[in-house]
Amino acid sequence: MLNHGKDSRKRYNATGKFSAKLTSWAEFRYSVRYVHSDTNVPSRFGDDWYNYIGAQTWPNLPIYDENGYYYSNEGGAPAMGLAQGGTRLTDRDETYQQAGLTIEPLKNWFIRGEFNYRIDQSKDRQTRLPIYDHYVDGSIKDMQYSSSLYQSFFQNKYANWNVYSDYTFSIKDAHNFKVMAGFQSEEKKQEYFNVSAYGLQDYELPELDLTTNLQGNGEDKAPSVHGRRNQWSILGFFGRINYDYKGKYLLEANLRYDGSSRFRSDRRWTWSPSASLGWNIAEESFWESIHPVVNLLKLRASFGHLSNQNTNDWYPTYRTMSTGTANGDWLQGNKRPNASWVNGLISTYLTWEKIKTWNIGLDWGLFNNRLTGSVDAFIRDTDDMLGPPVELPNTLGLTAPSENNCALRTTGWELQITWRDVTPFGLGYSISANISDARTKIKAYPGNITGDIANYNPGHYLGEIQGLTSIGIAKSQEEMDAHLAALDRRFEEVNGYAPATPLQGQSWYGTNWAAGDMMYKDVNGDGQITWGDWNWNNPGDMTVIGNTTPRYFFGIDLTANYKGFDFRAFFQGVGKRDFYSRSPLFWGAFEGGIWQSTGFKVHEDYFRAEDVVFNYTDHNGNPAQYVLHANLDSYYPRPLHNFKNQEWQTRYLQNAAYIRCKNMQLGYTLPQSITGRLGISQLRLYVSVDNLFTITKLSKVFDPENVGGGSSLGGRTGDGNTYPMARTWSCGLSISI
Amino acid sequence: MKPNKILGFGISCVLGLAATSCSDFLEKTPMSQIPPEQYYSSASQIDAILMDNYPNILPGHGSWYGYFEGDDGTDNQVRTGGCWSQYTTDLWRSNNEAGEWYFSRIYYLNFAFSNILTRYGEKLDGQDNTISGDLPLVQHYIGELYFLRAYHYFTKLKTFCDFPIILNPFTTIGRSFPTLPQGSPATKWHARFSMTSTRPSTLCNSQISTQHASTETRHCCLNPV
Repeated sequence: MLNHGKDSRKRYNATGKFSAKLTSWAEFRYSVRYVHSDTNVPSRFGDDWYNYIGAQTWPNLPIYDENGYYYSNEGGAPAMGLAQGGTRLTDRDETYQQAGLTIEPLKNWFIRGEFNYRIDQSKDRQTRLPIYDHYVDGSIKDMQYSSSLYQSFFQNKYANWNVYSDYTFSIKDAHNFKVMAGFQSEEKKQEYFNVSAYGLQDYELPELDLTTNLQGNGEDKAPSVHGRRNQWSILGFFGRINYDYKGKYLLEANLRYDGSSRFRSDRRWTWSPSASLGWNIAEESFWESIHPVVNLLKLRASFGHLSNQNTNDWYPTYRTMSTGTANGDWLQGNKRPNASWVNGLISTYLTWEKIKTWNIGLDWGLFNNRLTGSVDAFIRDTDDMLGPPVELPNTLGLTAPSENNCALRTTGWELQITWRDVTPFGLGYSISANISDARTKIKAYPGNITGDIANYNPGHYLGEIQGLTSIGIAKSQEEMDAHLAALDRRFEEVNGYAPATPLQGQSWYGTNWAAGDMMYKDVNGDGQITWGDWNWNNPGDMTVIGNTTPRYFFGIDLTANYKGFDFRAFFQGVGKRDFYSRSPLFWGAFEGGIWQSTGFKVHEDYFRAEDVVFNYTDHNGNPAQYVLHANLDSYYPRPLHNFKNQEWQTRYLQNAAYIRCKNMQLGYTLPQSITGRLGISQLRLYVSVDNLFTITKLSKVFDPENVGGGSSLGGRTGDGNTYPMARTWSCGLSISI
Repeated sequence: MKPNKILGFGISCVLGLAATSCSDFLEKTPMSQIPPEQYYSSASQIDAILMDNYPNILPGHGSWYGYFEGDDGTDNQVRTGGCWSQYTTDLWRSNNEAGEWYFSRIYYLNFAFSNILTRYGEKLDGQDNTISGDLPLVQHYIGELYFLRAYHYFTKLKTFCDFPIILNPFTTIGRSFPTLPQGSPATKWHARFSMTSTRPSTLCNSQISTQHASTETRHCCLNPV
């Protein structure tokens, strides 16, 4: 699909490590890692590319014209843009440095200092070249497009200090203590600038010094320059006490005190205490008789307080101005003037979100640790969560800022089991499986004043999908009319009089109900299909039809090795998940009109009462026909450019549960007796494949693993229009000397 | 370097960092954006505020019907994409939040006033003015801002008759939302309107051939509606 244009990436790594024992009580460590990468992609291969590929690559749109030139359909078709529309080169350098000093002034008393420093800088150089279609005679159809060069520089500096001290001691060989205290800081600084200049004199030599400042139509265009800096820091103090009595009873207590530059001084600091208890039952004397079978049994319980900034904004509590150059819309002396305005309201009272977690767990090891596993259950309360404020009168003039006013409760569990053994004839194998589940209930969300059912509502779960209940597609006008007449009879039963206009029971969602359209079920029995007031007090015929939250995440890992051969298969999946898409990638016919519509093979399964015949001329100039036969038992309704058949409903709710063979690998390690002579300590050959196969009931258009992603063309969640996971075959040789 | 020196250096680094940390380390203000308290301090900045506001009272060009897009959602025409919540059987429903109900432009102007007038001072002749730039120009711009606010309120008056008038904007939100300013009823409104409108006529300088065009603007400034 991307076989136009160039797409390449080169990466170089270098790592150095140094450590020195300065004295018997001090050790110094230093390491450095350097990564350089060069990425070269077509400049039109941007974020929207996958979004539009469905809409812009219809089967009837050629890539090349009859003369063999790329055909761009005046910029609408993507292939030519990829091949000739310019390139984007990204040159990125990352340096990670780490220095550490450990001092042991007394036996078992350590003072540790660690400094991490990261510089990440990247330079972009992007050309955008005009692409033109050609006329039949081969001459260019000059649309006077502009060429431009964009260069940018981006630098991120990150410094992190960790300084802490710990002391381990025992009393009477029974009470074991470890105490620790320290502090930690993080600081990030960012600098960015870019320049765009227009009118390249020579497309082969894109340089800022070689631009004309002219657009394709000959008009002046001044270069544009932008730049900004940002900074952010956090600071934390922490302490921890570990105590155990003969390894049987374990206690850990933590206390943190954190401050962030994102919040104002009086709301900046937060305390986070946590504690956990453990009981090693298998170490008890009463367990001795069972110990040969159950050699490990440990009960754990913990309660913790965590804080979370939950913002990507650098300065969420500072109000700023929007200022621009030549951004005004009212021309003054033939030029755009500068315009500026004050940005939205902010709350100086913003602060950390508080997360409280209760956890209980059990670890076990049976049959000499051949069968190990653990089970955990937790409740997590998120309080002071950031959310929209209560609705304020329009007279405020602007949208009120978000506040720490929401609350959530997440409950979940996790199970992990491993069986590991070696058979008497030397086959080593292991089976490992884990499964986890969590769901989140909304406790408070004051921002949803009207009770909008698509918004968060207290008492409901995150990820709910609301919709109508579908009866099916009407195969004929008679079937549709019978359905509408039944609705009318129900209306009369409820109200005592017939509806003013007959057969309008579904008119809330559209008009002209005919063969090939959806018949919706009258859930609330009022003789009309509606969404009522769009809140849960009066949801009309809307109910919760599914939930997008992935449930029962599982992974299965199988390994085996025998005489130098090793095999591994890793499966992952989701046990339960619903997905609903309103994007044209799913529906084919887009509700917003013909131009975003998509024509994949699956979309041929649409309702048509009669054969559709396409007459065309084949390569030899003979008339030919392509027939799409009548399809009354179709999956999709008749293709219309409106919502009425595409309303959220049970029929098109997708089951996104899946199991995927994520990785399968076969390797062979040469015996030491052979490799040892060559001075090689290990030599392994392997074949590996990622994403080998997937079992799912989801529509073939989507990939179940990243179905929640993608941008939204009229949907509430991601529309799943991301690029699917690639199946990757690789083989290799790893040598350690 | 001897270990003792390294140790000493390390400890002094740590202590030095810790000492400065708590006070300054977490005080990070925006580096590349102007806070409103520092803006509104020169004639050209007030000009930029005006340039943001004028296009909102001038007829614009929509992307489908051009100038005539102003008729969208009226009895003349629907808009592309439809107005299906507005046209119902036997009934034309008006919006209950967008359009005429917006107070945002009035907010922007009030916010500008709250910053500019403190800098300009109480005295009408500009004796206490601290806004940089040519004084007659500053006065003229302030006059234009008055005109713009009066114009917005006049439009509201035409549409709704009685309408709350708000002259003081919210700035930042603290622990909880303070009570919103209540709108005054129309009777007070007229009084207030004529009071404020004396000010633009004093401030607007007919001698300045304003680059903001229009004779109409000046006319409105000098002869408030």
